Amino acid sequence: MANVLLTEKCVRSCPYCFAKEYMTNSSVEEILKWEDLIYIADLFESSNEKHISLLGGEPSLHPNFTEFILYLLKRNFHVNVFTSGIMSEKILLKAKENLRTIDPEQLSFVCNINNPKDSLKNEFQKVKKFLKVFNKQTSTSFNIYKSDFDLNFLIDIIKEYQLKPHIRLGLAHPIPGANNFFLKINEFKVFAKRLMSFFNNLENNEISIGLDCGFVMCIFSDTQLGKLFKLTNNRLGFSCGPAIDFGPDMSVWSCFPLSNIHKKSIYDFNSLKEIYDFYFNMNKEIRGDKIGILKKCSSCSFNKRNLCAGGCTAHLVDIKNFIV
Amino acid sequence: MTTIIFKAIEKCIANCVYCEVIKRKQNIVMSYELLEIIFDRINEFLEANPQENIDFTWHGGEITMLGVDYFNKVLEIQEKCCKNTKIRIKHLAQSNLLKISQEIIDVFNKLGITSIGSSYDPISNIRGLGKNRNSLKYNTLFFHGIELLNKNKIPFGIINVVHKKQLENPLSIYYFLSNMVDNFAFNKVYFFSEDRYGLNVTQEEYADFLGAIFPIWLKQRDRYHVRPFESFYDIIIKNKGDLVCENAGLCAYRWLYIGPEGNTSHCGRSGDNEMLSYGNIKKRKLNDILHDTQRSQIEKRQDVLISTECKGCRFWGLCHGGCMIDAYDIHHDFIHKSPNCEWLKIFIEKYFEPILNVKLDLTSDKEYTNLMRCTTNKNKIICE
Amino acid sequence: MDKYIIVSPYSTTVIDKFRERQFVILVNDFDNINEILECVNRNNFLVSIQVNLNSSLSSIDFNEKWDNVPLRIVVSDLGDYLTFHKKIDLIRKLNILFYFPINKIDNFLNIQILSSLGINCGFIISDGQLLDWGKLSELLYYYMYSKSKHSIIEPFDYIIQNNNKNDIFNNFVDYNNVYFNDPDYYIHIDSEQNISLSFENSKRNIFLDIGIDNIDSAKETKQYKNIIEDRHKHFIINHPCSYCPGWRICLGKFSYCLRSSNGCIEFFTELFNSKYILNNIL
Repeated sequence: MANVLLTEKCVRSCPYCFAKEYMTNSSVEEILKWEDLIYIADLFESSNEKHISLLGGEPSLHPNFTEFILYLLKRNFHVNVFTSGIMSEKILLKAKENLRTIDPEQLSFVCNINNPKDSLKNEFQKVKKFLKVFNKQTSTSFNIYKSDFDLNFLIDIIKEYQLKPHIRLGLAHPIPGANNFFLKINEFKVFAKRLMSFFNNLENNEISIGLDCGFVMCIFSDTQLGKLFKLTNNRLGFSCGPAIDFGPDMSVWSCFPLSNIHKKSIYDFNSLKEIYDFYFNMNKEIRGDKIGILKKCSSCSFNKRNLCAGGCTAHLVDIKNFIV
Repeated sequence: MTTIIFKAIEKCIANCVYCEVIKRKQNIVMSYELLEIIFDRINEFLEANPQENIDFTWHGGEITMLGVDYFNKVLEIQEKCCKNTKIRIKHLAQSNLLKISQEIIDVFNKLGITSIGSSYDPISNIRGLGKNRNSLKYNTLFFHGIELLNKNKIPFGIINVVHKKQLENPLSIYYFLSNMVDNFAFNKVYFFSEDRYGLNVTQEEYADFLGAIFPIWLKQRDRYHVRPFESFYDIIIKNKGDLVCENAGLCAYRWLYIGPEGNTSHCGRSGDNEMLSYGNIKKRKLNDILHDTQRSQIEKRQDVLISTECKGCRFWGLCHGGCMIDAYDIHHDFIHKSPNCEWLKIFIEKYFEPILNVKLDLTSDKEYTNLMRCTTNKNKIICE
Repeated sequence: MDKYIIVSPYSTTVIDKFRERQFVILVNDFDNINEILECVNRNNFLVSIQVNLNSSLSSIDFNEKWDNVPLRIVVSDLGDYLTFHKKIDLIRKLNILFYFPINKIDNFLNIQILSSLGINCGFIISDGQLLDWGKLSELLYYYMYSKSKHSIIEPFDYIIQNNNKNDIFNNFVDYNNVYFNDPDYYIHIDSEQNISLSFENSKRNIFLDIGIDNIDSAKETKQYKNIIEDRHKHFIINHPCSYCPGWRICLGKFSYCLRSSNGCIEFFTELFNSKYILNNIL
């Protein structure tokens, strides 16, 4: 599933933001045009891809946010929106009137929620309003950028608002050439232990988790992996590959951490497969001889068997070697 | 098959700059008596030669100036003289269309004329009416004629004579013609007499004119039938197709010109320029004219040229030494190649071969299969 | 040729005068849609009802009872997308082609949205309008090269279908046909039973001197001959249009634009050559 940025504007400024570097380098005024949305939808359709993820910035800041979603749904896409849930009354009302009753199989939201302790009060109030309206369509997402993170607050929110019982866990990665917060390699073991400390609470509340790209298998013990197997509903994976993001200016790149490298125009490609193949090969080229982010990756049999990619490619980039 | 270029009239309503016929200023119209003699001669020839057919090409002057009654008379005479052979006479017509009418079209239909050849020039005052060659009037009448042909579903083709004033923008000429009609031809202007208006073009200029158009035509070749491109393309690429008379090398015993007073010659060009007289049809049988001893010299021309002036020429199969009338104009002797082979060579070498990535080897008459397909390497042609 | 198709306002008097004729009925509202269908099809055949509106598409109250009615609806623009969106499912069930005037720049996008949603549409060029040829080219590129299936956009569809034919007697494409304004196929009868060969003639009171019982003789009239001769006028006077590679499609309709821009040449040449592009001949 590829991602389409509707806008580069955002209402927050998260310290870990994997998109921050990209956003800083772009014109925040850029928004996706109708004609370009149609072009992207055509490209997806002709590539037999029926899923589109919309993100930003904060996608709901796009003036045609609701219209774009409805348009894509009418073209039989399954639309997944990554949002902070922070939106004005007006935008929320418009979205509510037009999107609330849509089958969650067709339209889903992934609400990225920061710990309220780290957020402004006003922000969290807005998130709550969003969750109240779109609870049936919404699952949560949490980005980990430090090892002493907390998930219990999220479990409470899921319960309180009767959200989809699922948490997408993202790992903040280094952005080559930038200075963002991210989880260092030497913190991985601590992180793993911390994650597993929420196991009982998650399991008791029947909340599943999904690991986003860049996790490494060997930071978990076999016992932890067994628990994770349960928590992820049998969908445990340790991958790193092109996510494919489309910018509002019709540029395309592999994923946010690698957005500085080999950014291309969508018009350079004829299908999503061409794009995927291009960035898959680029990732291979970046990795070169380095199999993974840990020394032991080079002799890892799980890596050889493609069960673990050996962490995020962004850790391996020597920025000087690549065109920014 | 024998082709008769039949000029019952040399008079014309138009006054085209490059026309050789109107310079003769002959106002004679062929008499009905002479028509009857001619159709008798044709009948006699066809009865004696059951394998033969005749293409009877009405040429002028302007044939529509003969009027409907004249053609009705022709029908009557043909019916009378060629009762059993008329089915082997195919009438064809060349007209400037200025005076074509529904009545003329109806009588043409009765004669079995199913298509018409015509001429046009997009440049003003080249073809025109009156002393000043008023092309506005000419064009108005011409397009009225075209509309009549369209209405009657009669196909027509256009000959465009390429002259100096057309060289500036060849593609414009091509687009103009292709906007009008699907079937047209480019012919190089040729003056047997004085070029009073400086309209002549060199061999290279004509080749470059064609070369500018050729790549565009190539893309549109399924839509437009354009000579000489189509015949070259068919022969060289498709290994089939026909050449025009001047390049086919086959005219020795197949062509005949009959003028308004019954005078005969080899073809339209020789007749118009009073070369090669075969005598008057009133006094000679058609078979005798078609086997006039002078024709053996034309036949011999092919054998001589291929072993002399055209020896080893890789374009022989496309040109056959060209039109003998051109050769006569220069050398006062038919046994020479036409100077017009030059544009053909230039066009093929400079445009046709590089664009289509082929190299010709048509040094003899069995050679169409000798064509080599080539590969291009840094703009050089490398033949396998 | 087949008999003329009659283009007329809704008039039972006119319709009932004919038998087994094809009709295009012109109206300005939806009040009598099903009644018109019934009336025409009683003894004749309804080709289409053209509804000329001055309002947005989104403001139309579509009716599922129109499902058997071929409709052409001329709208001013799309209007509110969210309102339109609620009507898409019903529109898709109906037999409608929407026309948008492209003197409004937003309508280029509206056409693209509709086409991509599987709704037939087209554009209308006003008389004497100075066109944005760049915008029109973008729409053409979308129509021709879009990676995904979409609905027709008129007159592109008509032009491309007919540009492929090899008819030596009819070797041009008059796209006015899609607007029921082609004197070879359509004849116009107004409410007072005046007969004309085009909307323009009807508006300017240029009527044929033939009776309503005699409409098929229209091609013998001076007006018809004038129209046909007009097609040649550019050649006769050596107008630059006659040298244009795109003439067979535009037929000189935009000669008035040449003073300000050559955009029409590029656009119609592209359209003319689409045959070769679409067939990968180039």
